[in-house]
Parts: sequence; C-alpha cells; structure tokens
Amino acid sequence: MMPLTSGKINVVYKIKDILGDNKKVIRRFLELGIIKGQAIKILNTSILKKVFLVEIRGYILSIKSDLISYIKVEKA
Amino acid sequence: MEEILLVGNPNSGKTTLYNALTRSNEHIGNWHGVTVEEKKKTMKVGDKNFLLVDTPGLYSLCPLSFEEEVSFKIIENKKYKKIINICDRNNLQRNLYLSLCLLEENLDIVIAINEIDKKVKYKVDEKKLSNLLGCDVLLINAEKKIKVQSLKESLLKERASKPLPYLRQINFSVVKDYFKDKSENEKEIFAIKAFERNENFFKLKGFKDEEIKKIFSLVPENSLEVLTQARYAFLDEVIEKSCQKVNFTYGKSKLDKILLNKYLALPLFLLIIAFIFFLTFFSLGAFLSDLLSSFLNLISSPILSWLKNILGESWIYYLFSDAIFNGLSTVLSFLPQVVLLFFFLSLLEDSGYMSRIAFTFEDILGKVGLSGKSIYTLLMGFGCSTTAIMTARNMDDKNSKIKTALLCPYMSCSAKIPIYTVIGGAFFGAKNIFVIMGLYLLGVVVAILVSLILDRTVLKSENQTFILEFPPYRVTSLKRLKNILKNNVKTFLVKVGSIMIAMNIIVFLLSSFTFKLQFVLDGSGSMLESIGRFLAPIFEPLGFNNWAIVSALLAGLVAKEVVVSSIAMFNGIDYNATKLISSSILLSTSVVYFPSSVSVLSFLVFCLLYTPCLASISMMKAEIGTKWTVIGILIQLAVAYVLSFIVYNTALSFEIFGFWPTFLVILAILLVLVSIILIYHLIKHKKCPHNCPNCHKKCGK
Repeated sequence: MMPLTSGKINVVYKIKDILGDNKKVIRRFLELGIIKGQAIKILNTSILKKVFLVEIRGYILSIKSDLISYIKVEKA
Repeated sequence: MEEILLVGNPNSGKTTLYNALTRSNEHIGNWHGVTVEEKKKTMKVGDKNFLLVDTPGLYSLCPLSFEEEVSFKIIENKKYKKIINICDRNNLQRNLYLSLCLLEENLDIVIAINEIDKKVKYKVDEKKLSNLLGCDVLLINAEKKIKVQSLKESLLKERASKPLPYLRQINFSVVKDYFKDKSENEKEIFAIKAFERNENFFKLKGFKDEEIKKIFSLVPENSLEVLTQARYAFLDEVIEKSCQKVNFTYGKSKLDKILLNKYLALPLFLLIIAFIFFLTFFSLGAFLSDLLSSFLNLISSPILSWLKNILGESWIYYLFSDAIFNGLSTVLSFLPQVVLLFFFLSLLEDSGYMSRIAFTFEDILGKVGLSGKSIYTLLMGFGCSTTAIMTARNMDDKNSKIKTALLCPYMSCSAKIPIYTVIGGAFFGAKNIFVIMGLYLLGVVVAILVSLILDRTVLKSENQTFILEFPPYRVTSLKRLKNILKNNVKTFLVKVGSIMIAMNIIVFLLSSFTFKLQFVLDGSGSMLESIGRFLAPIFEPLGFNNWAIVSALLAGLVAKEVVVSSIAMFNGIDYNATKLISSSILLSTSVVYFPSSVSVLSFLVFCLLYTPCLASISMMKAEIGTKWTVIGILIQLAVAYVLSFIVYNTALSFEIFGFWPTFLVILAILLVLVSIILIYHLIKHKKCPHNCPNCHKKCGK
C-alpha cells in the first residue's frame, strides 16, 4: 500500500484506504466516489507536482498533492 | 406563492434550465461555482404560478463551502412544493449520489437528466431508472429546451414514497432509539444524518454541540464510509440495470496535452490573455470605438445647435451639452471595448478552459496564499470588480475568501478603460499601448505582493481543499454568443443611462453653482472647485493638484466611468490650469488639463489602484464584513498614494535631466524583472533533502 502521490501516470491503481487529518476532505472524497475498492488513475500533474489530475468513475478531478496523499493505493 | 427548487451538482446546467423555465438570462458558464447565491423568478405551470429558486451547486447535503451552505439551508427549510434535481447525463452516477441524499430525506423530487454534450456516456432508460429510484425521471436538454414542457407538467404530480433498499442493510437501531420521541420517518432521517456525521443538519435543527457529540458517539467510527459505500453500491446496481454505458472519460481531451503541458501551459495562458487584450483595446475594440465616437459626434452636433437655438446660452443648455452629451458620449464610445472584454471572458468561461487555468495556477497562487480557484475571481475582476468579489464565495476557507475579495480591485476593471485610453492616449499617443499594458501588469504585481504580505501576517490560509472537477471543452453556441453580447450591451447602457447621467448632473451642478447658488460659467468659485481646491494640496506630491482632476477622482468613487466624463465636462471650465498639453484623438472635441506627462502617469497609477466604486465596496461589505472592507480600502489608498508618489518623483527627476522616455523604458524593464523574480520565487521547486516525494520540505524530518 502506498500513497497515490507515489503512483505513476496512466497506471490504474485500486484504492485500499483513505487516511488523513482533514475530515472535510475525506468526506468530500467519499461523496465524489473515491471509496475503497475503486479504480483510480493519475492522468497528469502540475508544474511543481502540487496538483494531480486523476480519473475516477469515468470523470476527471484535480486534487492538491497533500490531499491526494490521503488516498492509499496498490496496483490493480 | 409556492416555491420549486432547482438543485444539482456544480456545472450540471441548473442555471441553463432556470433560464429556459423562466425565460431569464442569468449568467452561466462551463465551470464549477458560477452560481453563488439563490435566484428566484416566477414560472407558470398550467394555470398556476410558482416561484422557481435556482440554488448554488452541491454534491451532498453536508455542505463544505459557503455557497453549498446557502443551498443546504434552503433545502432543509422545506418551504417549497417540489425539487427539480438536475443531473448531468455524462456524469450520471456521481450526480445521482445527491439524488439519493434527497430521496433519503423523503423529499418530493423529479430528476431531470440534462443532455449537455453530443457525446453520450450513459444511454438512459428513463422508465427503468424511475422505477428503481421511486421518482419521476425525465431526459431533457436545457439549452435546446427539449422536454422542458414535460418537466413542467411532472411538477404537478406528487411522488409516491418508496423505501430505498440499501438503507435496510445498515443497522440504525441504536440511533433510532435515541430519537424515540420522533415519528418513524424522522427517526430514519435523523439516524442517516447521524451516520453522515452531519453537524450542519443537527445545528439547523437546534441541537447543542454536546448533544451532537453524544449522537455521533452512538454510531460506528466509520459510519460515513459505510453509508457512502452502500449508496455507491446501490448506484452501481441502478446504472447497471437502467443504463447502457459507453466507455470514455468525461472531460478528457487531446487538447489538454498542449494546454496542460508543463512548459507550455503558462506561456499559452499569457498568450491568450495578451491576444484578448490586443483585440479589445488596440485593434477591433479601438476601431469600433472610433466608429461609434464619430457617429456620436455626428448626431450630437445638430441636436446641440437645436438646443442652443431654443435655450440660448443658459445653464440648462450647458447642463445638456456638458453634463449629458459631452460626458456621456465620451464614455459611450467605449461601449465596444467594455463589451468585447466581457465577451471574451464569457467565452473563456464557456470553453471549459477556466478549470485548466485553475489547475495550472494552483502551484503559483498556492505560494501567495490563494487557491487556483481564485484565478476565476481575479480574471472576472478585469471585467467588473463587483461581480468578481461575489464569486470569491467559491473559496473553501474564510481567509482565502477575504484575500481574494480584497485583491479583486487591483485587477484593472473595464470601467477604467476610458481613463487609460482617453487621458493616456492624449499624452502618450502610440506609446500608450505600453502604458496600458504596464498598468495592467502593475495591478497584478501589486495584488501578488499584497496577497503575500497578508498571507504571511494576518490572513494565513487554512486547509485549502483544492478539489475541482474537469469539465469537457465546449464550443459556445451562436444563440449564446448573441445573448452574451445583448446582455453586456444592456448592462452597460443601463449603467450609463442611470448612474452616469445622475452623477454627471450632480457633478455639473456642483461645478456650475457657487455655495450661494449663483451660476458660474467658468466654474470659478463653484462648490466643486472649493472642495477640489481644499483637497488638491493632498495630491500635490503626486503631481496633479488641479481641482478638476481631484473632483473627477471623487466622482469616480461612484463609478470609475465618471472620471473621464467629469474631466470631459470640465473642459473649458478650468481657466486656472497651468498648461494646456494636448488633445486626445479619441476625445477630439475636448482637451485635458495636466501639468505634464509625468503627472499623467502618476494619475493613471493612482486611478488603477485607488478605492473601487461604491457598488464594489458594498459588495465587499456584504461578502467579507465591514472590518475587512475598511482595511481593504485603507490599504488601497495607501498603496495608490505611495506608488503614484514614487512614479511621479522618479519620473520627474528623469524629466529634469531630459531622460523622460528613458524612464518609461526603465519602468517597463523593472516591472518585467519584478514579475520574473516573483514568478521564479513562486514556482521554485524546493527539493526535500530527505528525498521524500512531493513533500516540499514539509516532511518535518
């Protein structure tokens, strides 16, 4: 299990857990369908890798790196 | 009148449907959070009138931002007949998550699935979906008004309540027992809200903090996760049974390979903005402005001579010629430029590029304590500060919201275009293009510096949650293009027709009558001259101590467009002006009084940075409170005064030694250098000495 921030672009990962201090962020992740067992893929990162573009459930989200590190994944 | 709510995820087409149902023309855009406050308008269904309420977008009934809270409160107050829950067909599963939240509360809803794009991800069987969810489902096209009438008819039917199967799999018994005095229906809703750990809901129902804590202690630690898993598992089943899914990623485009490229994203954005400004101010915009100006001169001359024949050279004639015709035609000739700027900003909004810009700028703006989302508000600031300040509600935390709202006025709004073009044009001629570009750049640089200072001192951003959905690219329809132009022309004309005429008349009366109410043709001894002369010494160090200029600045507090019309009106009045410099090509019949080009530059810098108009100030007060509005105004006045002082005195010393043009070049180089240093500082990648990926020295090792 690793944080999604350590993931590679265009590789499909499976969400194993969502762990972090900011409960609001975890709530928003769950509402957006970022839940355990779901497939997730990094599409792109910003210049400084501070924002990640991810594909989840067939749509795209841009999420800050410190928040995306909440998502713990393993290769699908 | 009974209300009907329009509820849905951000960017699902709520306002487009609102416009279709109420024949309105509210602002829309292909971007998260365009609607930030509720809007209401009457809608006729059969013989009955209803009040349709458009609400800001939300993902669930647990609000996380200011605008989501607005919608949440309206929904929970339950003072309405029915809810239209609009869902984006291409992101159906995620959109239906909100529908489930509404159905769980047993609310009377009808689901309108909006076909936004031609490319279809879900082929929906409305009947099957309706049976599975237990509410009416209709496939509509809000933009083309397809099936909008059927949607209206369905509003008159009442929904038959149907239990949601997944709720039976969750054990709510302990929480239900806690609310034993409530009805069965209420018990279930309260238990669900406890599982959601929905503090806002319980607070709205009057529960105290201690009690809320006690309720939350009754549910398992991972209650929200359990509930969300159940909701999404049910949605997977619903989609499987009622939709045919086409495999493509919604929002993905090959264009992003170029527009989001690490090396190209920023230069391309700057290129697009430069192109918009070039078209607005110097090519198409300038051509149309000249055309309109000539036309206005052509029609005003015969009218004015006719008026002179009837009224003679009385003060009423001067009221018409100076206050109304001269002042208004000066500003009206800028209608094409203002409308063009708004037009291009609307095109950017519609295209889906705004989310890409927010993504690109998150890195940079994060360093100055703002969010990538702020870029939308700041870009809107180039159009109108008042509307831009309102969009600051999109920010996730209070400090970011205050900072973004405070920075809006530094983005040079479209009302200042006439000041730069008329006065700058008169003194700098062809070089004015560089002066205008410099002013825009100066506004941005000052905004970044002010934000940096505020972020490092009193307004540190907390927990910015930058989570943004990527919409697909869309081409604006011809109908929408027509609407954008029509709306902007209408807004400008209404503004010019109301505030400007009133202000010009007030300024004319104050500058034509003494305190003893005697008419003075040359303005000497007028009320405005006395006030202007009283305040003028304050501006002496900035190089423009002329009472007329100071009075125009005061009038500009109401609306920035009035600055130029006031100066145009004073033309021929101020015999005390020290030196007549030049006449503007655009202001062909008028002349402008300034001691020198140096003082003009200082005046333009002051106009760029000083207090925004009254409408912006009142919007600021409503959004960020009196305290921060006052602080913001004081900061702006101080920054405007200090920078104008520096510009004037430095330029003056160059002028004395005969190097005046050199000063402009040095100033431009300095501005560009400061911008480059700022950008370098902001995007400098701080590598962690411990090689932690992406930690940016925050690992604490």
